[in-house]
Amino acid sequence: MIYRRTEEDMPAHKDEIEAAKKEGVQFMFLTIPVWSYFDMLFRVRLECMAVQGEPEGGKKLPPVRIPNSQFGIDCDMVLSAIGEEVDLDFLGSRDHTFTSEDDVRGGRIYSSGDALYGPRSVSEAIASGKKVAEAIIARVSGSAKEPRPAALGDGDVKFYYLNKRRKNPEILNERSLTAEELRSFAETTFTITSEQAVEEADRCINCGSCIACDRCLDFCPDFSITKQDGVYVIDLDMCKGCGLCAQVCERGAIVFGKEQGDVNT
Amino acid sequence: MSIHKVLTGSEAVAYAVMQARPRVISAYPITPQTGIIEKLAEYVASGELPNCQFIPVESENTALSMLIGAAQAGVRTFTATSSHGLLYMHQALHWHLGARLPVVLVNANRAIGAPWNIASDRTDSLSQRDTGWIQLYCGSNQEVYDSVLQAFRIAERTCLPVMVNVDGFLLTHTKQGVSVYTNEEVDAYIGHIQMPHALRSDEPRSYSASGTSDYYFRLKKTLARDMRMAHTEIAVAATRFAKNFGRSYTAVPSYRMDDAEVALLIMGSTTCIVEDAVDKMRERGEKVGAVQLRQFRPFPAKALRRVLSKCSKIVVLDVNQYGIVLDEVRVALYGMTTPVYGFTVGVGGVPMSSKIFCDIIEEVSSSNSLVAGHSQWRGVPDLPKVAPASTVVATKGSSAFVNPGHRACAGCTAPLVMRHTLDVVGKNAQIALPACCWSIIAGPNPYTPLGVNMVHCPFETAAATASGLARAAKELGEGATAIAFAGDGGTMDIGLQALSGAAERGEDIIYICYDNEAYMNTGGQRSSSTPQGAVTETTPIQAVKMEAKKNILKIMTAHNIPYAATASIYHLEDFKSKIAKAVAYKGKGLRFIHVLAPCNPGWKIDPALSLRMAHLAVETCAFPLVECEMGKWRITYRPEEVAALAEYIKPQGRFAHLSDEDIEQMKQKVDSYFEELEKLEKYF
Repeated sequence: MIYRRTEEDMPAHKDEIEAAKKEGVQFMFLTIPVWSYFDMLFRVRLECMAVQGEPEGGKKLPPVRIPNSQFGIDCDMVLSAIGEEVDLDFLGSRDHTFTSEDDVRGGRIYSSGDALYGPRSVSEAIASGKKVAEAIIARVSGSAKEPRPAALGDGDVKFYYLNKRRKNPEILNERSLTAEELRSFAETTFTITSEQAVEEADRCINCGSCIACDRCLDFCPDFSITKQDGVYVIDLDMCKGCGLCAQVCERGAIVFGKEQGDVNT
Repeated sequence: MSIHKVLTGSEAVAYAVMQARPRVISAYPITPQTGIIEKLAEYVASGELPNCQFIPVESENTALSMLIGAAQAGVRTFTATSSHGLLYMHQALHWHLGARLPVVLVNANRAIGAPWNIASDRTDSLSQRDTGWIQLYCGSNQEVYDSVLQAFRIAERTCLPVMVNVDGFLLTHTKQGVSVYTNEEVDAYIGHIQMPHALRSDEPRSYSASGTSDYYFRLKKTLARDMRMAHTEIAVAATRFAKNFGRSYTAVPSYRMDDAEVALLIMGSTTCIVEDAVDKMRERGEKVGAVQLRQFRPFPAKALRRVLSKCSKIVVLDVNQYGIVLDEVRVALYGMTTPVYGFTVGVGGVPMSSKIFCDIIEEVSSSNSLVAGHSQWRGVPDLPKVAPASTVVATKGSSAFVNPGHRACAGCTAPLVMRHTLDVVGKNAQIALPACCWSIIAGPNPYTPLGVNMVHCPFETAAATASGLARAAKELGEGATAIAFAGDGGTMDIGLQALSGAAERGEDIIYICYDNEAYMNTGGQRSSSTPQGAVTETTPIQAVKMEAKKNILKIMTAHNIPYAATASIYHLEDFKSKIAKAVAYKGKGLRFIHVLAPCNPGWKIDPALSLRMAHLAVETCAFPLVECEMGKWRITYRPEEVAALAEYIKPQGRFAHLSDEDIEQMKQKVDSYFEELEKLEKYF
């Protein structure tokens, strides 16, 4: 594997890098492929150059080629991994004109996730998918879309209160490989059990969502929050407005602000 | 040269005391006296009152007793108190007199319990009439300032202690114009303290030791004579004052008394209301006058007889619950045939108006009865039927035993301590509650936010009162669990003696100390639980608290009680399990739980941050959660990652002045205590 920056700069997960190393992949850092060609024996030859990639002021600069550092590698096959692109051929045009999840083309095509924003994380793709689903529901039902709750701000989720529950090491989805397995093409990563999946999902903080933890009930010093048929009700006549309930809400599900309208009615 | 200022009564006291340059001031906070000692703390810290020891002590008993030593050493001394504080000084009041110590004490007049009442009446000081202290009562803030200056002069020239009485709130918290004088003029007026019996290193003696009865008798006879003769020195102090500053004072200033047929006798700030009533009655043609009883001890009988000699009816107005002034006046006027009518008004802070006094004057004028009986109570109409003090159930909230609508500040953690304690202990709990924030949170009668019985009790008596509840419960066999629920001052300062006694006797009580690290109920004065480096109202920024927080847990474990623990109101699971353990040790002795309950006004943090502070106190190990169960120590909660101490310290306004180096030093102490706990856990 040839990479133009250092190992620390690799966007891949650390465990993936480690696994690749275990499998015997050799890494060449601060190296850039220049061109490839078939040599006289019809072998693939990859011409490379060493580069300098000192980050300046914390910013990654494009690597600078070092003159006269050219060298060649003989290969069986060269795979280029130089980014991700969405294949939009089925639209009949490669032009990307979607601007949001609400955009619809040809009356039935929505765009979301990487197709809309370019390469991003899985959770962002899920969020984008949910937005498209909402747009479709609104369109099909003919009703207005429900307003999304305001995005959580900095500090709304109180990580300092949350149990720092870490991944169960037994759920690590890899195992040590034997020498035979290393050379074979067998699976090295296995599906976790459904119990383990539940345990993993349980680590989710549910940012912005009430999970009925009852902390507001336990910590309201004025006892003005009650649970009625599973729903929390704040008695604003008894509330002194200290804001403790919102402060102790680990998930930022309680919004603390001024009472709206005439408070005397 | 006089300077005109606008001062509260408290500020007038503090200004006069500052100018009198005492060398030792002891102080223990009590509403409504706090304004006096807070201002004096500021004067001492800022250097305006130099060469003065200001000592925020742990009880009124100590406040006045400390001055036994200081005054005996021959320096000028001062203290201030109010109400129950004065009552708690009772023994030392007598002692100061017997030892002939010229102490000046300012008492902010306040009603006495039970039931609790912080409003103004004069039962507190008048009931101390037989302690022999000279007592002056002030009608205005100018009189307050002048009387304090005079008090130092009188005390030091008679070697008798002087109590200057200032109506709580009505004067202490009310701004009035006051003319003050320069420090040099005040120095010239008061003079230097000269105590013939002050300690002398070249002539060691045994002071106030016992002797023969004859010796004692002679000493007291001399004292009685000197107390009578104090009249002269008080008069001289007034004359001199008039000469130096132009304002004249007498023991019984009179108002429109020249041709008065009906005279009203009154004290303190009520005087101006009575004078207003006199003016109104004069307009109606009634010949009425008023006499202010400025000096109560020694009682100015002669002056009073003189000023009242011409009138045909005398009305004595008592602003105290025992009709004390009426008794005194009747004794003083013995032999005179003028009828003396007694009226009790304003007890417990009931507002007094000229209308009430006009009505009284009319009542007396039209009365043909010459037989004057007990003091008649006026000012509050009787209820048609005595209503039983009933529990008014508020809206049902999330707690089984504490209702919403209580009177805690927004964001207060003290209600949570009560709630979670009661959730574990259950309906059989009985609470003994000394003076603390919860005295206010519990609200006024007939309301109570609690679903269990609560017995309010004096400040230093939480453990004693709870012991009484427990002992009676044992006799009654009803399975009640007595809980003493006290603040840090009521536990570690003034209540420590009762707590230690109860612990040693193995009283079957649970003692909960909810610790907000200062006297927060009286506005945030230093307690022995205040952490080092904190600013409070009596440890201002120039002189922050230098002493470490008292380690009450170790004191209690030294009593070999079955269970002692610290807890935090944020770490609920830990806290509730400790309460459960305390309940489980029923019958085995005193169980003690020290709960950190942050106070947002006192710690100077946002109301929403009080629980976060309790959280951080533990996560930074500044307040470790430990228990000592039957002698076995255990750290009950270990932070997964110890948070940086600065996270806990920096958001708190009371620590705003601390530098990173200061915090680093604190951190070292935190670490060493935690290490010590680790060792206790390992080896004990």
